Amino acid sequence: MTLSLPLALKRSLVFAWLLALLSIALVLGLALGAVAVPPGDVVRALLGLQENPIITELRLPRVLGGMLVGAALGVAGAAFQGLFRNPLADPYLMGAASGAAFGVTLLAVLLGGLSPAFAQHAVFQGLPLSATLFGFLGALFATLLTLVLAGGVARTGELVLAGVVVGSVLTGLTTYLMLQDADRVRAVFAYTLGNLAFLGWPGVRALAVFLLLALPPLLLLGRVLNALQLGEEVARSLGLPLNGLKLLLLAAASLLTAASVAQAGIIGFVGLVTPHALRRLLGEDYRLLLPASALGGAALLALADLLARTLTRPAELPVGVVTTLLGGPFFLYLLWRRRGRA
Amino acid sequence: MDGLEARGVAGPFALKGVDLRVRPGEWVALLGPNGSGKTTLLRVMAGLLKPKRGAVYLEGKPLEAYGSYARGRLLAYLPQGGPYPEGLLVEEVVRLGRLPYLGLWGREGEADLEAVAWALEAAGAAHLKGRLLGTLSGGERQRVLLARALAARPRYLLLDEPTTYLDLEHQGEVVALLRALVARGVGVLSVLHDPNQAALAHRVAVLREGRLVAEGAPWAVLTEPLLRGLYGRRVRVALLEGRPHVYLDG
Amino acid sequence: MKKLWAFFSVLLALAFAFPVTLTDDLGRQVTLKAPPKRIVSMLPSVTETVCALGACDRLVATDDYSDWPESVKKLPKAGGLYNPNPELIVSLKPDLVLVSRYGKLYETLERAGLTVFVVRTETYEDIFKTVRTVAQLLGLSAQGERLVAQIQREVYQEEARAAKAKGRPRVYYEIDPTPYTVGPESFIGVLIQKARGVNIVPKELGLFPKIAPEFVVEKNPEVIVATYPNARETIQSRPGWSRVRAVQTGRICVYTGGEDNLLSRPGPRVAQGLRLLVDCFHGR
Repeated sequence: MTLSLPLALKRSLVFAWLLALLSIALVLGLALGAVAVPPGDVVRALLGLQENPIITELRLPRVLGGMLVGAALGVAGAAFQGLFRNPLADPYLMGAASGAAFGVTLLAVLLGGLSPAFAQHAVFQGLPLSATLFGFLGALFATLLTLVLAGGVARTGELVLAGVVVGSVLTGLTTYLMLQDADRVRAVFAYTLGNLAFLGWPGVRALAVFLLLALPPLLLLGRVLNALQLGEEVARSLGLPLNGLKLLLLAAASLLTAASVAQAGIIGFVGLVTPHALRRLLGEDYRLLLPASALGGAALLALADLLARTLTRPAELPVGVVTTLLGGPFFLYLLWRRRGRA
Repeated sequence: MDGLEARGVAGPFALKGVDLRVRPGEWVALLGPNGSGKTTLLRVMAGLLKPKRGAVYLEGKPLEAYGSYARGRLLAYLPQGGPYPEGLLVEEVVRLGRLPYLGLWGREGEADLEAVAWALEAAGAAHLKGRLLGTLSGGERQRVLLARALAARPRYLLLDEPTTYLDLEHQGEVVALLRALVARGVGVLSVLHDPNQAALAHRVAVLREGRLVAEGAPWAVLTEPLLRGLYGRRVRVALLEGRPHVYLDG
Repeated sequence: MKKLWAFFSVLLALAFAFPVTLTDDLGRQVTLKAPPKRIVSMLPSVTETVCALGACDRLVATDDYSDWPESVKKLPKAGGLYNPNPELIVSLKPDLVLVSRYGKLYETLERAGLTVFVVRTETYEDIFKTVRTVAQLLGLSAQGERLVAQIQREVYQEEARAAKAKGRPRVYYEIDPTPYTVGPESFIGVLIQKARGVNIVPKELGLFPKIAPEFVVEKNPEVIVATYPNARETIQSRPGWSRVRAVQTGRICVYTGGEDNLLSRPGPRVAQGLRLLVDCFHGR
C-alpha cells in the first residue's frame, strides 16, 4: 500500500504531462507557421470572428490531422508490441506501413490508368475511404507475411529480419509502380518520408472515422493485452479465443496504420518510440499504455511537424526526417541502456 | 464421475497411452525424468493440447464439450517459467485470473474483486498487491502467479513445477499453500522434479517414456528400485512415519 | 573561288583544331585526337545541343529521356542517371561519351577505355557554355558561335515581348505535388524573371525547396505554373487554396507531355520554354 500511492500518483502525472504536451503542441502548432499570424488574429479566426483561411483551412486541419495520424501510429505501435510481446514490433518494422503504402499505390494505379501522378494525388490529397481500405488490406497482408516468414512471434531477431525484408520488397514494388512513366524520383522520395502538407478537413474526417472504428476496441482490449503478457498458454487457459483475438488486434492496428499512411505517407519511429518511452514511465499495463500512446503519438507527431514546417520556413523539411532525427537517437539511447543493464 | 481424468491419452510428443485421474480434494504429483512427457500430459489435461488418441474428461464430460471460458473457470493452469510482465502491478496480474468470467469485454464486479482479494490472501500475497511484478523475489512472484491461478476459484489446479527456482523456505511455503487448497476441496495435479516434494502429495504418478510406470500412495510408489531406475544407482529411500524420504547415498 | 577558300579554311581549322584538349566540368583534362564520329549523349539537353549543331547523325545512343529531335527516339537507349547501361555504351564503341557530373558513370566508362566528357547543364549560363564546349569537341566551333547567337536572339525576342506587357504577375511554379517549387536562382527561376513574372519564392530557400502550402496561400500568386499530369485538379482540390487568386481566376498553366521539357532543360530550345511562360503570364 505504501508503494501503490506514489505509483498511482506517478501514472496520473504522466497523463497530466501528456495532456499538457498535447495542448502545447496544439497552441504552438496554431500559433507558428510559414506565415506569421499575430496570436490575436489566430484566436479571432478560430472563433469565427475573422476570416483567415490560413488558420481555419490550412493550419488547424494540418495540426489536428497530424495529431490523429500520430495517435493512430502510437496506438498501432503499442498494440503490435503488446500482441507480439515484442518491444521492437511496430507498424514500420512489421512491414505493415510498407504494405499499406503498396495497397494505396496499387489502388491509385488501378484507378488512374497507371499514372503515377495520380498515385501521388491519391496518396496526398484524396480518396480517403477506398485508399484506406486498400491500404488496410496491404498492411494486413504484409503483417501476416512477416509472421509466416518469421515462423511466429516469439523470435525477436527473425521477426525484425522478416519485417525488414517484407517492408523493403513492398517499398520496392511501390517505388516501381510510382516510377512507371516519368522521372518522379523526388516525389517518391518525399512520399516515403511522409507528408502532412495537404492534410485538410476531408483527410481529418477520414482519419477520425477510422480512429473511431479501430480505437475503441483496442482501448477496451487493454486488459486482454495484459493477459497476453503472461504468455499465450496462460491466455488460452483463461479461455480467451486467441486466434480471433489476434486477428482482431491485427486488423485494428493495421487499419490505424493504413489510415495514417493513406493520409500522410510513411512516417517512421512514432509507432516504435512512443509506446517504448511510455512503457518506461507507466509500466506494462496496456489499459494505460494504449491511451497514453495515443496522446503521446499525437503530441510527438504534431511537434515533429511543427519543427518540419518552421525550422527552415517558409520551406519545409519532410516530417519523416524530423521524426527519424528525434526517434533515432532516443532508440539508440534505449539500446545503450539495455546493454548497460545486461 | 468426479474429477479430471485422462483416458488413453496418446499422441502429442512422447505420450504413449496414459490413464490418470485427479479427484477434488486430492493432490497428485507427477514425477518422471526429463522428456518423459510430464509437461505434455499436464497441457493435454489443461485442454491446451489435443491428444492424437484418447480423451480428457472433466466431471464426466469430454473436455471439448466445455466452452473455453467454462473450462477456464474449472481448470487453472500455471506453466513453468515466464514470460513475466515486469511492469505490471501485482493486483492487475491477479485480476487477469478473472478473465474466464469477464471474457473480452466484461466489466469487473463485486464478486470479481472479492475473488481477487481472496486469492491474494490465500496465496499469502496480499501485502504485495501494490508492487510491480518485476520488483518481487522469485518466491514472491510465484505466490502472485499462484494467486492469479486461484482468482478464478478453479476446481482443479494444474501446476508445472511450481517450486523450481525457489529456495528451500519458499518451496515450503508453496507446498503448504497447496496442502491448504487441497484441504478446501481443490484437486491439484503438479509436475514436480523433487521426489521429496512429491512424497507430500496424496498420490504419486510416475511417467517414463510416455507411459505411466507406477501410480499410488507415495510410500508404495517411491521405492528404491523404481527411483534407481529413474535417477541412478545411488538413490536411497528411508520411510519415516510412513512417509518416504529420498536421498543420495555417499 | 571564295567558296573554295572557305572550304579550305575549314579543312585547315579542322587539321589544326585536333588534337583538342578541354577541361570538363569536373576539372578533368580531356583530349580528342580527331573529331568524334560516334557519340553517346547521356543528357537530354546535350542531345538537343548536338543536334542543334547539325551533328545529330553522329549520335549512336542517348539516355532514356532524350526525345528531341524526333530522330533520336530511334537510337539505342542507354538508361538514365540512376540506371545507366554501361555495357550497351561500351558495346557501341563510341569515340566520345557526354555524361552528367552526377553519378559515377564516367569512372566505369573510362576504365573501359572510352573518352568521357562531363557536362554541367543546370543554369541559364550553362546553356551557352555547353553549346561552345560541345561545338569545340565536335570541331564545329563556328556553328557553335552561330547557335549561341541564334539562341540569344530568340530569347531576346521573347523578353522584348514580355517587356511590352503592363503587369508583372506574382508566380508560383510547382515541379511536383509534394510540393516542390523553384527558387529565383534556378534555371526555371531565371526564365520566370525573363518572362517578367515575380517568383513568390525568396532566393534564400535555394534552388528547389519544398515549400509550405500556407506560404503559397499567403503570397496569393496570380499565376500558377505546374509541370506534372492532373496538376490543375490537384491544385484546385487543396484545402484553403480556393482563396488563391490564380485558382479563382483559373490561371493555372499546366505543361506536360514534352512541353515540360522545354522548361526544365537548359538547352537550345530555351526560347520556346520562355515563350510558354510569356504566353502564360501575359497572354499571346
